[in-house]
Amino acid sequence: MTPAWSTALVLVIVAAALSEFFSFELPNFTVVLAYPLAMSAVVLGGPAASGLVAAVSAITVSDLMKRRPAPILAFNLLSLVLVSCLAGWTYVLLGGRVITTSVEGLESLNVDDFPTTLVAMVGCAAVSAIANLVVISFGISLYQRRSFRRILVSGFPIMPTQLALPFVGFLMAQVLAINVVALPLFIFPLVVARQFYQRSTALREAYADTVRSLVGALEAKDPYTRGHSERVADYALGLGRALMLDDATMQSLEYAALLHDLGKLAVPGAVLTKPDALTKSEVDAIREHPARGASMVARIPPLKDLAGYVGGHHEWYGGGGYPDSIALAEIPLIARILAVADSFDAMTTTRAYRPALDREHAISQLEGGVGTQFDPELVRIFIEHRIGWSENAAFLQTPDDLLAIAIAQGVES
Amino acid sequence: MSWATAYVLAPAAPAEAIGVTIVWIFVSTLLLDLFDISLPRGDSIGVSGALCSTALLYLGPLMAFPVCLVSLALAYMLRPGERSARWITNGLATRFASLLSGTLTMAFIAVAVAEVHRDTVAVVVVPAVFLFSELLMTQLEMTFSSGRPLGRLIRGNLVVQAPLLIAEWSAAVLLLITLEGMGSWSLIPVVALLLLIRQSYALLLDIRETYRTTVEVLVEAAEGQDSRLAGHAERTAAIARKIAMHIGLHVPQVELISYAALLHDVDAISGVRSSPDQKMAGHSSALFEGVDFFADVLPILRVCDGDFSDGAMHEEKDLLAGLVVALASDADAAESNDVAAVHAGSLVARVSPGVSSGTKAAVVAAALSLGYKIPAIS
Repeated sequence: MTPAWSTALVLVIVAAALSEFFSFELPNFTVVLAYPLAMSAVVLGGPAASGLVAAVSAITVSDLMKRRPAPILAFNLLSLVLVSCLAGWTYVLLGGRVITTSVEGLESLNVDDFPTTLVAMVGCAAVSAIANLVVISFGISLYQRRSFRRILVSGFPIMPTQLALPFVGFLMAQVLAINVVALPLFIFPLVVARQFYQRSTALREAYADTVRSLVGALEAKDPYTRGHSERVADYALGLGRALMLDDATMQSLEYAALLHDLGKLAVPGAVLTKPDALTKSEVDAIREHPARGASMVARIPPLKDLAGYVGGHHEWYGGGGYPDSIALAEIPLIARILAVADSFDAMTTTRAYRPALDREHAISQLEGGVGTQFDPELVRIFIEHRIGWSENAAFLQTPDDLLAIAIAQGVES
Repeated sequence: MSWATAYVLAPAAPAEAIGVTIVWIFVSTLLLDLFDISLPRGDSIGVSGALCSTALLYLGPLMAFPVCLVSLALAYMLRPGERSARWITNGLATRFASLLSGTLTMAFIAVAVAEVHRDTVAVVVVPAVFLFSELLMTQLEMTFSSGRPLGRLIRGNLVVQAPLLIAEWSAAVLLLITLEGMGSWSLIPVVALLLLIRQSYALLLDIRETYRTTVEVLVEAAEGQDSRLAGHAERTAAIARKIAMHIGLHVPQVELISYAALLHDVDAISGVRSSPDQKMAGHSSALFEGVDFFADVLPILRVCDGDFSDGAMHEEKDLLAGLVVALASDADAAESNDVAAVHAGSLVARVSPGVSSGTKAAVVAAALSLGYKIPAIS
């Protein structure tokens, strides 16, 4: 059952208009299912048809409901139409056959059209995927005043999906030309893929929060260090932002900060809260925690690259830290950031063996450790950007913490 | 006409030489087999079933059997070190049985369906039979290896895998529709579609596995506080998983129980509860209030905490899950004097007052049939 080309085009346009309800979010980018439909229009009617389908799907109901600013809507519209037309021209230029033959009908692709049409399809898919990424990255960098290159790089992981979707579009055009009744068969695979992507993205976004909660729950045993990892993460991210680290490094920094003291969870609470001098074996137990934490983090496959950061957060910039006594650039940047953030939080919170230092005193201690314990550049940025002033006031421990500390110290409150 | 060539969908005037189609279907199936997804429990999920069922209908059983079996065997050879001989044998047996059931369905269609409807019926039914046979065979193997009831296994896995199976079935039908005109060139967009589905599912499984490992590692780290509890959470999770599967709970519920088992003592190991004595009410659930990922685990943890105060409403499934965790914890304590000494009491005793006698009977029966020592339950 082959429809007239105009009917086929109307069908694709209607589907494209409805496709916003089937879009899925990936970091920085939204994959809209109008994209394969625009590519199917390339095969159905060439660049103009593709541009028309893209235009229909560019401004969505949710855009209008959210009252997005007119310049953003205009940018979306123009960029989608431009990319779709560009892809369509590439297809035609490379010898791909448009299957609309006359007002009446569609002549489906056949084996004689290949491999020329395949070359055109590959070219069309590549141009649309690359142009889409470049244009969207440009738009985001302009609107959010972020680095174009970094946004572009963050889009690389979605390239395989962006390259595969046009082929789904080409298949749609072919099925439309052969038997329009079979078109709903595309709903199942696309909706299933969308659901899986959505669920994995939601879980990925919630991961840091989940780790924060877990670490927070497990740190609760020690009133002195309660919330320590979370505060270190906040300070470290403050430093990361000041250093303009890219998104991937910032994510690594956050996870490494949250898990930097993982090895310490296994150190008995009695040792961590001991107000007196520690014995040699107790000191050894504490000094083992970076290496122990590193080996635990290495067991979590996507985080195994963080092991070096967790293991290196007690290394000293001038050498002489532990466990490996490495120095300078041998210590990874993230580990050097953690060293500053960790020490600042340790100094500004009450410990069993001493009360909390005030902020100015802690800063002067950081300055005192420049070049020996800490990376001078990082300490300078930490101070210049007043990190630790605005992240939170956590170092002023909560009344509950202070009460717990008082009880731990045997002080009547 | 023998049974092996009873019904073949290939057109009278094929678009290309049949040898070309055979080679392309072989290469495409091999590619998809190479990218199947290994699951944590040891089996795997692939998306090549769509191509195998197409091969059956388009090339005929005589060609489809060698093409699909050799491609699978070659895929196993190209991924050395990952699979045991038993695993490979099971994989090949599953594919053989699925091809066989597809072939028998084709023969039945050839005999029972009028010629005018034969193509349509075959295109719709044969891929569905093939894909369901694959699922059935995998579950049959698990029944033999784990002793779990087949019906419950299929029901549970059908819920989880139905979207994937329907998507694969759709891809198979789309391929059969387009093969006639485009020849084997139509494999390219269909394989792209299947890889898209595969990739999205693999991403989901990856992130789930990351969560799982993270929780395990963190709990294990905290257990280092008291060497007597080392490994207790993980052993409890393993026992709870076995009991839950034996009862026939669905895979998602087994997963929740397993998480609850890992976290059931977290209040004690984090020092929130001053004493690990199981006679005292627990507080593990309170530590994860508001954490989205644990939203479905919290009701089970509340049961484990013994939260049966006035107004605390528990669903029957959560009571059952909580009892499974409690029984698993006590079963581990029964095997370890250290754990028993730390617990100083029975978790089942804390949980059981809120659980109906029918639920208790089901859980206890499952635990006993698996050979676990359990405490007396009133």
